[in-house]
Order: sequence, then structure tokens, then C-alpha cells
Amino acid sequence: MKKVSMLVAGAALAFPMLASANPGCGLGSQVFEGQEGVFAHVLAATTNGTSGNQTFGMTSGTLGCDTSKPVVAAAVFLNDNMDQVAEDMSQGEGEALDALAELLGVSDKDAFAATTQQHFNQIFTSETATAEEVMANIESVI
Amino acid sequence: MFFFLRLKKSIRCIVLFLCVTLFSVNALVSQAAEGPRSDIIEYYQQKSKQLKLADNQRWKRMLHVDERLFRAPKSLVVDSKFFVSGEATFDLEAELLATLRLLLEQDVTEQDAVQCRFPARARWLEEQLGISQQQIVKVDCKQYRAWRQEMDVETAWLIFPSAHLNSPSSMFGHTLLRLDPPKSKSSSTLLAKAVNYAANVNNKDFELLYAYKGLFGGYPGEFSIVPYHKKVKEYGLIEKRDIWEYRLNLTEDEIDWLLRHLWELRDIEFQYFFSSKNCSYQLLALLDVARVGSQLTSAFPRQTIPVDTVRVLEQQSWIAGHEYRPSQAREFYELAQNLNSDERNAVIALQSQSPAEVAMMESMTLERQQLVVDIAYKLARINKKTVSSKQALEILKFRSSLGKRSSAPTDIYSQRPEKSHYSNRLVLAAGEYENSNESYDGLYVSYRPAFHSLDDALRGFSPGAQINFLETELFITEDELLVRRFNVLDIRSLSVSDRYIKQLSWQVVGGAERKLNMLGEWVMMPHLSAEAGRTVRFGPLQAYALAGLHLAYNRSAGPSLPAGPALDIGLLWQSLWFTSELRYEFDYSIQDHQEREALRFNAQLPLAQNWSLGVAHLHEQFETQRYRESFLKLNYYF
Repeated sequence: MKKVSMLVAGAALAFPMLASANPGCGLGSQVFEGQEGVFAHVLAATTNGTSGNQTFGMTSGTLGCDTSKPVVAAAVFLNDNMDQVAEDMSQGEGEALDALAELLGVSDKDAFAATTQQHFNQIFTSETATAEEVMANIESVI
Repeated sequence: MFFFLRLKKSIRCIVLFLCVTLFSVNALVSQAAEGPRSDIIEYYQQKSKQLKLADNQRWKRMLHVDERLFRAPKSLVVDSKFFVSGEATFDLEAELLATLRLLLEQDVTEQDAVQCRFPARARWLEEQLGISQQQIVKVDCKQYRAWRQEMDVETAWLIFPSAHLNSPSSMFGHTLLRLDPPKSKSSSTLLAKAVNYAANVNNKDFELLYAYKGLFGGYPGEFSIVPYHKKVKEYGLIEKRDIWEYRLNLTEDEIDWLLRHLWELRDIEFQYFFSSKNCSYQLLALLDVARVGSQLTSAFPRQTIPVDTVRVLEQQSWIAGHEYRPSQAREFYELAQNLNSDERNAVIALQSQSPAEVAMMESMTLERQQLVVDIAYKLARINKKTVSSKQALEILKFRSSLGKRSSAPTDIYSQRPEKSHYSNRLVLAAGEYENSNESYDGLYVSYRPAFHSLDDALRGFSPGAQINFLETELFITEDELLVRRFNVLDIRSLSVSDRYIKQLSWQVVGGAERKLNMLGEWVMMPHLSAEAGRTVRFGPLQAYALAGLHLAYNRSAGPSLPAGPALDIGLLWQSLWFTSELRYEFDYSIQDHQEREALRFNAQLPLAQNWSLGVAHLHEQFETQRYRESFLKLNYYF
């Protein structure tokens, strides 16, 4: 287990922490948001349509965050997938958790999964925690 | 010796001749290359005319030409940025000549350069005309280069989020592309890029206008690229749709063409048509550019139903494998099947009680506890409206104390949607009908262009879902031919409610149908009805009860618009090898105090993917008048 912690710690030190990266770009999703509004639903149903600006690459959906920093890219992903990441993390494995680990540049995904499962209560502290808070909590345990 | 001398001389002559010839050819080309730019441009423009490049199918594909008989070719792109010639009317040749001129022009910026703006057109023209790189002025396409670096693509997938039961228009499904980077670079498909084509609608339009504009080209359509996880969330989690992923066997070179052309479509507006030139059509158009000789879009001259595009891709050997991503609801039911009754009760208890209070958990093995808690969480998320977020998080906190799953996850399989029956249906039926006065033997023929009905084979569809568009039924007897029915729309969404998930069942039908009037005559009556209620399951049977409103126009009774309550109760059996329905309908006209009742029965036996055999029986009663029909029918899908 010691070796595992080392691996994770090594990965965590490889990039700036979220606090210092200061995303400041509106990662406001809460852990369990309600359903999409009726509007979005009707829209998708009647025309297969979307509204708003169309994006054409990686910067899409980054809310103006600087995603060249891995930790910010991870926080943006988390912001979009809080539900799935929380579910995967509680189970100690899963696709969304792996994606998060990849964005963070974690080399040992199994160790990352084991550690975050173990500290789940410290990471997802309440149902109103925001992506930014959850990300900071993840950093504090790995 | 003399002979050798002669030979030597001849060789010398031949060599000399060859040199002269080569030199003169070279001189011609270099004259074109080194001479004034206008000569070079002129030379290649002439060559393109000789080769009839403007009529080349690939050129038409790259310009998204919609070819129709007896009409001038027209591009589906409505955006002037997409065209170089600046001509008011679309002209394939003018466009080609202008593109060629711009490609060979000397003073161009990155903003204007063909090789930066239209890299597919540039590559094609270079290859077709044998233009060497030296003849093209070097422009550093910084933006395009950066984008290609970001779009490091190894494999392309067609993604098909299938039908959505409770949302009529998306019952047809949707398609998008997923572009995966090399596995060595990223192993997460969630982080791959999704290429999506959709209408860019106006938020201010009200709902009916959406439908209208969406159908008749009132919105611009555009390609966009978003992370795949956003699409998985949108379709799989929010809309509860199963997602099918088909790997396309594109070569490295074909992927290069695909990306070059995709870049050309950045911020470009097409005219969007919901039923024909829609998301699925435009993806095929993109693939048609990627592969030389591909014939995908030509298979869809009229309506483009997403599942049909999957079928065409399969027929034309594009598909190299598939994956299945079940929706949250599907996953829940599949997993819940493996639970015993104590475990099921625990799943329900966990929706409202703290995990520590659920006593029955204690007697379970760790493996079963993990399973029960995982299933309970899925249910809590499906029932977001009734189960609090706090409760959902409680479940997860408890789950995190149970460690990693000790059993292998259950694989979930499903019938592949492209193996379902085709969308056009032709029914030929023979039988008899009789009313209070007379009886006839007759035939009926019915045609429906789309899409699926509860009396069709179930394979590849969700049970309880029906969407019929423009169904027309003709009655043929010895001496007359009658339109029996013309239904514009006939949607039924019978979603099962149980102890886990409560869902609304509903149906809407509108059109015209022959019904009995007071004189016992069989007359065409426009009608509209909408009903809602519940569906429950008893073993293989689904039982439903719906109530709502009914509106009909009865011309023969002196113009009147009988409106009133309507009731629909029935039993439905749908399985892969047999479908059947027994249905009782009742409606009452408040204005005339008249009742109408109908009892229907049908049963079908699928014979092959596109053939089925069935029987249908109808017994209708309107006040004192009766009507009855029985038919044996053959369904053919194409």
C-alpha cells in the first residue's frame, strides 16, 4: 500500500494544485443536479436541435477555463460528470473515474481508484458540494 | 564491327531523341510553372476542363450538391463562406475554376488560402491535376495545423442513441460520429470527440414553431465537436436512451479526408430538414467525402431515418464491430433481475432509509451487499424527482465502505437496432366485413412510410412504443375502392410502471377513419384523440388503461363536432417470436349523447426480418348499429 500511495503522490506533485491553478471560471455544478429543464428536452425532441454557440474542438464546454493545465481540465470534466464520478468512486472503479484519472495524469489508475474510494466521505462531503470543492478534496487525499 | 557502330549510332539517336522530348515536355511544364502566374492558372484551368473535373462526383460531394432530376444542381450549404467564386447562383464549374485560381494565387493570407480553408478541395485538385507542391505558394496554415494536432484520430465510430420512448420525435433516434485518438494516447472513450450535426434553433421560438421550422428547413444546421462524455450524458443518462456504437473501418487516408473536409464545414450553415436532410444524412455526406466511390447519401433521396443509415453502412461494408451502452433504466432492470425478493425489498428500502437502518442488509454476503447498493443507487438516480440528492449520497457513502466489487460485472446484451424490420410497411390483407345491412368479402392494402407499430415484430425496438406516420389504408371490394383510413400520426407510448419506476403511458392519434354513423353507413370521419394512463406488467403480458379526450367530425349527422371522454383498456403481448393485442375502446359524445365502442384483436407471427403474418379482428358498435371485420394479413417491410 505504501508503494501505491507513493505512485499517487508522485502523480499529484507533477502538476499544480487546483487552488494554485485558480480556475476562476464557474465550475459551479453541484454533485447531484436536478434534471434538465423542460426547454432543453422539448428542443432535443422536436428538432434534434441545440441552441447557443456551436463549438469545434477541444476548448468546447470549458466554460472559459484554461484547460491546458491538467488539474483544470479534470475539474471541468468533473463539473460535467459529478454523478458518474461519484458513483464510480464509491465503487472503486469505472469509466468516468478512469477518465478523470487520465486527465489528472495519474499513472496508476487502480491505486487512484482505491485511494479515492477509501476517502469518499472526505471528497464528496455533501450533496451541495461544487466541482471545484470536490476537486480540491481529491487533491488533499492523493 | 560495323554492326556495332550502327547500333551505337542508333542508341545515340534514341537517347538524343528522348532528351529532346523530355526537355520540351519539361520546358512546357516549367514554362507554365515559371511563367507568369496567370499562365499557370490558365494551364490548370484548361486541364480541369479537359478532365471534366467540375462534373466529378467527388467534387459534387465536397460541395454538398443535392442532385435531383430535372433541376439545376444546388448545394445544401446555404452559407456564402463555403463558396469561393462569389457567384450569385451556384455553379459547379465556376466554383472549381475560382478555387483553382485561389489555390495557385501568389499573395494569399492564411485566412483566404484554399489549402488552409478548404484542405480537402486543395488535396483533391492537386491530385487530380498533378499540381506539384512547388507550384503552390507556401502558406503556413497555423489554425488548421493546431486543430489537426488536437484531432489526432485513429478510429471513427458511428454512434446511434436509439429511440426515446417518451419523446415522440426522437423516437426515430439520432446519430453522431465519435473520433478516437490512438489507444496509446488516451484509453478513455468518454474523452474522445463527438462530431454532431444539429439544427441551431432560436430559443425565442415557441414549441410548435420548433416542430414546423425543424420539418421545413426553417433552421440552419451546423456541425459541432464536443467531448463524447457530454453526449453520453445527454442521451444515456438524461434521456434514458440505449446507445449503440459502431466502429467504422476507415483507413488512415480516409480519416485524413474526413478531417480535412470536417474542417471545411467549421461554422458552415446548411439548411436543416428534420425528416430528410437531418443529422444522419449529413453524417453520411461527410463519410461520402472520406471514401472514394462511397454511395451512402444516394440511398436516401427522401426521408432519412437514423436506424436506416446504420443498415446502409452495414450493407456497404463500413462496420467493423459494435459496442452497446445500455441506458440507466435498462441497466437497472437487467441487474435487478438477478435479485431475490429480500434483496429487492432492500433496494426499495434504500430509497428512503439510511443504509444502517436497513436490517436485511446485514444477513447478506459482501458481494450481494455491493450488488444491492449499486442497484439501489441506479434507481435513486432514475427517480431523481422523488428520491433526494441527500439520500443518493448516503447510498454512495455506504457503498464506498464496501470495497471494490468482488464479482465480475454482468454483461448486458440487447437486440441490435439495425436487425429490426425496415421502416416502410406494406400490408396486404384478405377477409370479410359486415354491418347491420350487408356483408362483403374484400381486400385491403395499407402503406406506411415510417416507423414502427405495436403489431410489428419487436426485434430491435422498445416494447410498448409505437410511432406511425402517414398510414393509409385502402379497401377493395368487387365494386368499389374506399379509403378506409388515413392517419397522419399515431403514437403510443406504453411505458410500464412498477414498484421501482412510475411512468406515464400516453397516446395520440390524429387523422381520418371510416366509422359507422347513425344510419349504419360507413363514413370517413376526421378525428383526434389524446389519452394518458398507466401500464403494468403481468408476466409476459402488459395491461394498460388510458383515459382522455376524443374529437371527431361527423359530416353526415348535420355538421357536428362530437367531443367527449374516451377510454382505452387493453392487454399487450410482445415477444421476439409473437405479438398480440386485445383492446377495448370507448368514446362518448357529450353533444349527441352517443356512445361508440370497439373491440379489437390482432396477433402476428414474424417470419423473417421483413415479413410477418397476422390476423386482425374488429367489432364496432355505435348506438344500434354494428360493424365487424376479420382479416388475414401479410406484412412486408422495405
